[in-house]
Amino acid sequence: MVAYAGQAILHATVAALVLEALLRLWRVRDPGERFRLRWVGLLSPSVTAAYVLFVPARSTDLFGAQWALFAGIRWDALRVGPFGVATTLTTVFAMLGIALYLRDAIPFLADRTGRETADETLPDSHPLVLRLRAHLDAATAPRSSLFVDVTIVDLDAAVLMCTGVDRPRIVASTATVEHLRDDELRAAVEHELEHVRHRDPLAGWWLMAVRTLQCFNPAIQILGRQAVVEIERRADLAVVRRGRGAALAGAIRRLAAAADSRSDLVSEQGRASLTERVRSRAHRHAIDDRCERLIEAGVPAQTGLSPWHVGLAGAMLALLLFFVV
Amino acid sequence: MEILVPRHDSPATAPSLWPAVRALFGAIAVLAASAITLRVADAVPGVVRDTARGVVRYGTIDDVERVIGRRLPTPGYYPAALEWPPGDLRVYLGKAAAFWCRTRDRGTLALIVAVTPPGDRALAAAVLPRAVVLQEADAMVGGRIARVTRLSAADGTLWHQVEWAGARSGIVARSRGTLEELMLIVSSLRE
Repeated sequence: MVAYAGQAILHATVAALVLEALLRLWRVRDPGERFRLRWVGLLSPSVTAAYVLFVPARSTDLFGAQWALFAGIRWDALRVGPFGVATTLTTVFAMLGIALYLRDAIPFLADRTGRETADETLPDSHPLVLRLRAHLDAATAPRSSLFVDVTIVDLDAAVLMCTGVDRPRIVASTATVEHLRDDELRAAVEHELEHVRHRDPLAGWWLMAVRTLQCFNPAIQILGRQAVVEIERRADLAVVRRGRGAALAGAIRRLAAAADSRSDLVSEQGRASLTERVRSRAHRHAIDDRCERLIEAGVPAQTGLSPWHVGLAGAMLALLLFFVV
Repeated sequence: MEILVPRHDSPATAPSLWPAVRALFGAIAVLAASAITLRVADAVPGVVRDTARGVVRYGTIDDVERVIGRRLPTPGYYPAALEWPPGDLRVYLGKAAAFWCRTRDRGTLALIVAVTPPGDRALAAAVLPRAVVLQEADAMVGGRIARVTRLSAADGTLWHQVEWAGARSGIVARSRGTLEELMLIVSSLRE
């Protein structure tokens, strides 16, 4: 089990680094394309499992000595006290992976399971619901086939997100709808609609499922977070393309300033510090960075990343990882 | 605001294979660089521990015998200047094994005895230090034909080696001392 865990962590780390190199070399800047390529890395543990289960020859000493490019077990020859370096690193990285997993999984599950039972929702005839509905109808008008429910919960905290795999719904709080100006609310709704259009709530569940299965794997946790960032950037860029980047930046700043924000619009991209103070600073920096990108940066060109590219990256990784034991 | 025009929206041009070729070569370059990096990282423990790929070092003769599943040949005659028991024991793939003996005073490597499975004597190379063969000839050792070799080690020192097929395994004995002393050690080895 420890051997599999060590190999899965090693494989995912190699996959993450190789994909990062490919993203730069192929100059993939479009977040939708980057998201597709990140999935190749997220699926690397399944390749590891297939190799461990179906190619037992890879686990022999002979393969490790004569064929492997890298054999993690060899690092156990170096000792850290009574333990080998490979075993020690596997243990340390597994603990790091679990910490990263819990840090995101607990709020994710709490948001999706606890909110609606605990919070009071406003009736459909409420003026705030009608206001949000009007913005939603205006935003969906060009795509009339898109049907999205609206729920407003009576909360002082700023909440705005889309949920629902089969029946998409935009959930907002009274504080959000009250605080945002019309143009900001429209931009925020368009951002959420972009998530609906790409079925991102489903992608979110898939991501969380992979992260749960690999909860010990820090590389998968980081790849999962990067994938979420790409999803958010893709939705941001869709709003920028419609000329509402500045309004969305305004909405983000306003929601970030509100106490106890719970929205993917103000998700902490890049938050990685240990102490609350540093975390909060990093959070602010990430928000500023995101807003700046919404206002200043252009829409990156698509590189035309095709299934062929994704297949090539996957095949290349599968080949490389075969020789990493 | 800088709006970059997506490439696929550009005016229609003849399809070119160049982007695909460039992507393929880029991927091959990343693959090669990754393979080299992994191979270098893999070599680090061997360099630090001075062992070849697939070689594991053990602390006692008992540990080695348990791993290879047979007894190591031990010499009845053993120069008093060498440490015993040996502190450096190496096993390759659980098959070939060797003990490296050093002098008591300066810790200089002076004697190596290696065993391999019968008929697989090439495995001994993994548990022996690299050396260049200078001269070799056949000789009789304990009623068996043995190959006697004169070697030059990587540090330029001269070694003698005797190699033969024992009753249950192939045996290689290599000494930095005289050939006569090595022959005495070899003749006294108990399998």
